[in-house]
Amino acid sequence: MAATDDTAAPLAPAHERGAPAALVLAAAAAGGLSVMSVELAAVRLLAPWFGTSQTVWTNVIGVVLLALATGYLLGARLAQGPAPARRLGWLLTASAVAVAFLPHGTSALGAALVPAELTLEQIAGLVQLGSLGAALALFLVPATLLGAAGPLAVESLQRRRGGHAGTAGGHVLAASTTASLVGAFGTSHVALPYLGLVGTFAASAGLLAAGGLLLLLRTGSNRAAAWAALVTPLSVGGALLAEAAPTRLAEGRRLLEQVESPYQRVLAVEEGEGENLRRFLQVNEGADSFQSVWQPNPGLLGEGFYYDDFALPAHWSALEDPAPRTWRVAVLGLGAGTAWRVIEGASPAGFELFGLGAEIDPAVVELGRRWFDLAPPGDPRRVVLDGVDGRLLLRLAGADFDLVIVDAYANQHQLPPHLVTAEFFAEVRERLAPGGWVALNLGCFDLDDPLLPAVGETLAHAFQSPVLALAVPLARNAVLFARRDGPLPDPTAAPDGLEPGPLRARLEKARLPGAHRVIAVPRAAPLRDGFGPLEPLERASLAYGRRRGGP
Amino acid sequence: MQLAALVLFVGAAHGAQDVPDAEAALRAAWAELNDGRFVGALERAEQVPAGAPRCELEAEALYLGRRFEAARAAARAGLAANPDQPRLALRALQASLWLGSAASARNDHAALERAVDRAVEPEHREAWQALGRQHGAEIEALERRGQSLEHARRRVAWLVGVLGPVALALLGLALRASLAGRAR
Repeated sequence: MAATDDTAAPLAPAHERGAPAALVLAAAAAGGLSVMSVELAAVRLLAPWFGTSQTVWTNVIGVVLLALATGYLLGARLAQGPAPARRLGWLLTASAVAVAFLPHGTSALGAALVPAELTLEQIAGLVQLGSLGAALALFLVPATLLGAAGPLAVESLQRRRGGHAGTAGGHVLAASTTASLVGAFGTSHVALPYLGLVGTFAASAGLLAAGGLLLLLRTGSNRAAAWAALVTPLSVGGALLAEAAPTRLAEGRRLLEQVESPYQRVLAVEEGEGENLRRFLQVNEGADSFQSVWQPNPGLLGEGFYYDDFALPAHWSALEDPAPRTWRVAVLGLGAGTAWRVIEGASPAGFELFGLGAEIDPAVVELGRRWFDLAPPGDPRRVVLDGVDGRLLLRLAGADFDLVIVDAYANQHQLPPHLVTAEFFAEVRERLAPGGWVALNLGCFDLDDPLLPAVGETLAHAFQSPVLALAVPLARNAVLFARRDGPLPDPTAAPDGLEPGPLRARLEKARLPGAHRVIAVPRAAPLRDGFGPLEPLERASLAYGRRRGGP
Repeated sequence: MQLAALVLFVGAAHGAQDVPDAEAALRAAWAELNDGRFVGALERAEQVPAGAPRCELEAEALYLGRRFEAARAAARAGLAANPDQPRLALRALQASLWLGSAASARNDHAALERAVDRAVEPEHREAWQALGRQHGAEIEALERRGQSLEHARRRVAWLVGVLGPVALALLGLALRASLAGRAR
């Protein structure tokens, strides 16, 4: 005689059994896939205004988790009523509408929270709370609706098949989570690159609406199904109509090209004419910042551009030994190749540049080759590695360099944490030839900015030698120099060894009090792999910037 | 009395000798500045007695050397002693604009207008006033940006201040509804 399971729930009466189990599981999968897809795409949706920093990710994930929790409880309540499968159908349909609305809502909200005329540091001050507010306004409703789907799916399954709640729950979770996995990889590698941001939301909305429609058809409500059938194309079409974050350009600038990469929106813009023609590479909202600059002729860009300081080490080295040589330069954070172009046009006589560069975003390299005269693939004197992190480049590079430039920024103004630690700087040092230099671009308001001593001391500790910091005139930057086994130049000494010209004028400015700072070797490095209070330092820097200027 | 007269005479004679030295130092300082040697110019300026000419040189050297806070301080120090110095007022204003301080720039702009009214010859006044108007427009742009930021901050605070509690309240309501349903 077969054993019976007294703990299992009986089957529901036939008229209450709702939709087939496979359809309920498919609906749960649609919900799971959409939650993950929306979450990943959500940060990209906010990126044009708030960037894609850890703060933004935390706010989006936090709001989605809160909404899912609310949704689970809501679903638990709804599951106690009749026809859970039909309720699930309505829920998915409503979710489709909410998801389809997201691209529309974001543009309006972003423009209201981040006005176009703000500077980069003003925007940075709004990121933390602004992105939280935007996430609450945009994602609370759709994520709550999607959260409610799970309990309804479990209830539907159990009434259909009978048995244990845990069994139904396990099956629903497995379907939903597997679909979330597909959603995660599919969104990052397929939907965002090939469908774009708006297309990704449209696809999610379509999937949800289709799931809702099928459930309503199978649960017998034809009028409801008709409404769902109407919602499906409307939600998909409505999402597609959204303009994903209109591009805002500074006055006088012209858009050359715009690309959505897996990392960010990348723009090539232009201003001026003839010899005054300048091109800039910007990412996301841009504000008043840029990632790369181009002018018709290689060489120095002039006041306000920190790249010019990257030309200094060659001249300092030439003062010690003017013999012609190959000047081997590695650039971590190559962008569109501005550093190479400046050095190429402003090096001492007889110095021939060999460049190796890493740029994590292939779209930047693509635009760089089209608009910024970045070296084409296969150029043996300018080797570009795209899709490669700067720290990895250093490990892969076999050569010793005369100059390593660290110019890698995320979200326009944030230092990648792994590129400002003592361990990283020690790796840089190992890749330098004796007498070789490192030059690091640091976004800061002046040499009293709290960020500067933290990064400078970390660099000094790794090199076990002092660091020279030069404030870049008319810019929110300083360039930090360290040297392997060689003396730094005296920033107070007259640069009489240099030919009269812009670089000598630059160093004359650097002699002034407040324009230079020598950072001594500290006992311990403030920033290390595994421990580095970078975000508090960046917030302190922003607060310092707001206090500057004064009455 | 005779001793006091002797002291005064010697003092006056020494002062008279200082003027050519000061003028020479000032000329040398300006020459250094014109050659882009800012530190050299400031070192020469130390040989010039305190006053408007020295402040003007220092403000100019620091401004062209892009040390705007120090340039503004030097210009204001000169203006404190000699308010009718339009060049000093201009450098203070321009430094404030570079530093992004609208309130500071407004004060400096007012000082420039006063100095121009009092000390600039009528035939040159229009050029100075045009410059003042140009910088006035830049101040207005700074102020507008400041207001935009303030409005954005208020909107963000409102959004988070309202939606945050709403989200938590929804969670609480959903929990209550879920428990109430089970109790039935």
